[in-house]
Amino acid sequence: MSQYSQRVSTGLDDGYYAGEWINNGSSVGIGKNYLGGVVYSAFRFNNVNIPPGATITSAYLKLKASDNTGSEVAFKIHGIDEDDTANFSSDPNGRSKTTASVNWTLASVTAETEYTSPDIKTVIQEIIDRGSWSSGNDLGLISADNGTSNDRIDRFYAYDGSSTKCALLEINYTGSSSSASVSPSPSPTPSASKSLSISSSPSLSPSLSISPSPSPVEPFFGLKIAKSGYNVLETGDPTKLIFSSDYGTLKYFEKLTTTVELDANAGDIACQGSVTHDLGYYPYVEVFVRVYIGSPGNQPFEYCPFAGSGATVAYNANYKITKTAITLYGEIVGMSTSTWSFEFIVFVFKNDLTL
Amino acid sequence: MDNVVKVARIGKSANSTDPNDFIFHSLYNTFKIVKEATKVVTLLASTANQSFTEAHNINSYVPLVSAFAKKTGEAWVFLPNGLDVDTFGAKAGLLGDITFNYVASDPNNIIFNFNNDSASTAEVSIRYFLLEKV
Repeated sequence: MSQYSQRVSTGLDDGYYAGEWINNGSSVGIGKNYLGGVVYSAFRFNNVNIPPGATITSAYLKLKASDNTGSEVAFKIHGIDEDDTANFSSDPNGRSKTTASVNWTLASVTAETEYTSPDIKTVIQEIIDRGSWSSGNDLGLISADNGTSNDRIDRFYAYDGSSTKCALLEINYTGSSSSASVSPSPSPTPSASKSLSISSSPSLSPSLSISPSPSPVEPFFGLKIAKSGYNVLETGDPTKLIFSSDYGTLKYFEKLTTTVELDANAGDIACQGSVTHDLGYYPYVEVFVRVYIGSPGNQPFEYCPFAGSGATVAYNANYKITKTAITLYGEIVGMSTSTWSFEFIVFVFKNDLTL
Repeated sequence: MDNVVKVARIGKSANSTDPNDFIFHSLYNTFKIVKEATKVVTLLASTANQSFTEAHNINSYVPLVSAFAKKTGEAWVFLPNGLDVDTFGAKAGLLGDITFNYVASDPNNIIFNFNNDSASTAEVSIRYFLLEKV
């Protein structure tokens, strides 16, 4: 018996659909979003050195969870019914799928745990039995929903999240007299850096002449900067990255300040001010306020995200966001004969709330 | 000596030691938004303490949440611990029909809590941001 065992080996060889096709994320997802939209993943394995006519005795897809989830996800694994499937630079869901499929249900998953599928030999056999299959071709698998409830998504490492934790395909087979089956070319060892995976090719045996060499490393379309002590090539975990282009950030625009006053001795219990912006949409805003009795510079009560109290007087602050301004409010509740000052600091970000 | 990537603000020196002089500095984390989405809820009339939940699908930690709300038909956005301020006089308090009492999160869900003092139901759109583990 011979065995083929290889992980996804380039960034364009896995991906998932969650409203759009994503082939450069650190993880792939399988399940359904909260609106019931199916989230599916696809995996492509290079250089499958199984000769035509071989008998598949067993085959397993292994996925390592990148996050914990506690709810059941039920899906099917189909093959992509093509001799030498192309990479997943675009959504592969429209490609023909094998008739054979295997149901796989995961009750829950735990991060960093590898999950092995049920035996998918029927799926692999259907592809190998295509009339024009050749040893060394690339083989694809794709998931399909099988009754997952809404808002349940399992996440697994993608190649772009970890080249050593991404999907692994193991196929055991017998048969064929092809030289490739006697001496299958070595599987490229997933390496910690791209330069290592390139430099490994000189060690390949003469079978290189009949087997395509490992696929060239695909470019990474993004920017990641790891925190000290972490390997940027092996993690997509945002807590281990100073910066990752997989994630949005707040885009700081400007800091605005204003101080408004109320004269409780004159009967005022509230005051109002505003700062303007020219963004033309509702921006993400963070506001901080410091409350004084008297003028700014006197002893402040405290920094006050919106509520506080002195001995007998409570005070509140509030704001509202429009497309041109931030209107700021202060008020007191209780008996006072003083002048109150509300000093607001407003941080405006360019992020559009899209409301 | 640390190896760093720095992007200074226009007019500032890349050799500055003040982090405020940098747009980006690899010694300082950027607070990453792991998910942002909009949820629309309908508030019952004349009802306080109305909670709405949304599964966040982040099961490895309880995320910090930042949220903003906008009542359909109004032209301003308000926030947790705040009113949909629509009337304000020099000697009047803050007035509004809807109070966005709080936004909270637990290991599974985000919880949005509102009061609606109006005699009518109200549709509110909430824009929320889930932030990275801290």
